[in-house]
Amino acid sequence: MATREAGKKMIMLKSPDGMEFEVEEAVAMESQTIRKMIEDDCADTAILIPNINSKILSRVIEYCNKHVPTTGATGAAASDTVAPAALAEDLKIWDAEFIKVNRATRFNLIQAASYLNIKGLLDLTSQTTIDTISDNSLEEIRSFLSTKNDYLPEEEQTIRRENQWAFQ
Amino acid sequence: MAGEDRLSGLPDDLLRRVLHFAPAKEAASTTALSRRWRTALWRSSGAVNLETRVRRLYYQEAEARRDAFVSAALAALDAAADDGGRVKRLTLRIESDGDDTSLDDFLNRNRYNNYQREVNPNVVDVVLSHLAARRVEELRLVAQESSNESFDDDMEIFSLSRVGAYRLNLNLLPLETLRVLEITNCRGLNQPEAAVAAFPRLSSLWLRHSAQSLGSLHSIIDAAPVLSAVCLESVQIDDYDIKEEDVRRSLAAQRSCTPPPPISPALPLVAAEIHAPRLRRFRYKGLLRPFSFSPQPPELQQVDLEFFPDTDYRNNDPDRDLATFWRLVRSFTNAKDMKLSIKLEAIAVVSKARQAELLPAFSSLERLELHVVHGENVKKAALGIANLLRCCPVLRDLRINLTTEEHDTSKNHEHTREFLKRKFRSSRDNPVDRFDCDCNSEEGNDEAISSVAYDEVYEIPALSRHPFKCLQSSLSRVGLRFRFEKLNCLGAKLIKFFAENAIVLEEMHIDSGNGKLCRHVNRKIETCITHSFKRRNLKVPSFAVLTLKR
Repeated sequence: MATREAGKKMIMLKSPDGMEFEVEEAVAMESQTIRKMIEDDCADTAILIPNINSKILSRVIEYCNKHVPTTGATGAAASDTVAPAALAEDLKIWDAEFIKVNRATRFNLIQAASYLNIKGLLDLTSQTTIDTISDNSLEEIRSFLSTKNDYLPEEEQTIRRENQWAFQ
Repeated sequence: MAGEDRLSGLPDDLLRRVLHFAPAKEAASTTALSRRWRTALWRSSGAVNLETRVRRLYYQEAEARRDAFVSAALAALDAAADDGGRVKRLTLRIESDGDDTSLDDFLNRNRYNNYQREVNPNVVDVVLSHLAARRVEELRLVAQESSNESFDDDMEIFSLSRVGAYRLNLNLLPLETLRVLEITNCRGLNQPEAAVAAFPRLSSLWLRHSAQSLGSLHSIIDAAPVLSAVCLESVQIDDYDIKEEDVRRSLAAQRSCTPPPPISPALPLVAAEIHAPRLRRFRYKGLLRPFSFSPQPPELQQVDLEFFPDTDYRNNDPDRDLATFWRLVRSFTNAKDMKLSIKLEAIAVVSKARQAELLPAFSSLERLELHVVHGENVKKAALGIANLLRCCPVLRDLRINLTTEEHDTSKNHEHTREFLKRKFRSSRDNPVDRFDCDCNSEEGNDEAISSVAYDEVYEIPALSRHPFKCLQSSLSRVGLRFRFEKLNCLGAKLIKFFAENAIVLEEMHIDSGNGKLCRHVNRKIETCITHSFKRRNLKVPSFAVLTLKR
């Protein structure tokens, strides 16, 4: 196995807390941000990923490893915006397991996915977040978000009237 | 950012992104959260998700609920389109806790009034007719009962229920802007007479658990010049309209009433030649149907085909099916990656002449994954594999998942449509998981088999008599998953065959369905492989033997 991997180009990713991760270029390029850096030739030695600690970064790499297209070789298919029509079922099951994390980790993953521009991960984390707050009352959502209600009572009434359909 | 565990801590554009996924009602109600949310973040997310659950209710109550949902849905679309906002993603998801009937009640107004056609449009039509829905780029329609398993024990009920809960008129779709179309549980996309629809931007088409006539599927794909991904999963494709068309043509002007679909035994080999020049990914799960892509899509990357056995005896014509199958796969000669689930004997081409006529050359195919069932006739099954190997001159990675017919659950289909019950499940992925190890008792007799025994693993004439180009020059990885039953099972023969004949093999991954418990089987296999090295006069193994990862 080792012989085969020797042929693949590796990229070093560094987190701000000093950890280094060696990943295949194809895996790193699941991130459109990193892809751009590589394509613009800004990535000769190691890429520093600001704002993302090693714990989150390793999860992100785990995700990319799983989602890198198996077709390999040419790798031309990677940047497709089209939803992959095939082989999606296994990944869905894997994703569901992957995203069983606490809220703090999930929000960190949202930010990481956004910065690194990994559409699949951003969709997954967003969907999961929405799923957890759906079916909750507004008050529950407020406490979930740690948001204070800074409306005056009459203001809130107005808003509720404007979007009456949403509060029925 | 470390330690931040509040959604509110995210910047507005990210919040907007997250709200993409919120059901419209929840999203809109966030305006009442706080001043920051007042700015109608949700409205600028460009997405409207209309979701509801229905259950069996008395007629009037059901009616009231539907009216409430429809007016909320229209209000959500009104609000989203306010101030020049544009809805780019629209999702309509209706799940039922009960059965198809409650879905049908909910979706199709006036169920008791079916004879008056189109008096009241159904819920889907009402939503799609809204002005804000006219410029949508991504459209998802799901109507399904959420408890998929509920029919499993009750064939009777299932066979009575129809495929699809609603019909969809093509002229209601945002044809100009649509990029992604995902439809679940639809009774068919209908093209209105006369009108010719065009989907200039459609790139991805998913149909799941739906019925679709071959004729209109054909015309939809033909009308989408940039279509790159097509997924037809548990789709019941009927080809009556193609035959109808023929009838119509021959009857020329006479168009009084259309006759009911004739059940003709003489199905054509290829009834529809679909034009999809930009196709990159294609997935089909269903019955073998007479269609193909012509010309072959040049940019094709991935193909995933799973054929369910057709138990309708009227369709029983193995020779025609054989030709239909090979005609279809001929469409994918540019594919790099192919997954195929079928019964091996059904694709075996026996005669030389037929082989020359039917077998295509997959000249770019590097990865082939087979999930195959085979019966008693091991020779014929092996011939199926030989046929495929012959078609793949540059194959690098081959994975074969073998299931014998007696262990195949799918053959017990009593009803042709039974497969639709399995909707989103697939039994093919782990055929060996069901088998517990049953060979511990033989532990005592697991001495390495002798070379005499090795020779007892008969060669397979179809395979061993022919040189295959991929074995000589490209095949570097083989994965085999099967249930080791006896030394002469097809799985063992294939191990022997690849060990002896695949010259450039680097890795062989084996899962003989026995887990780690059954060491003796593994040892037998290892011995078998060692013998093959000897036969090839190799002192050192030329490839690694590994356990296939589950």
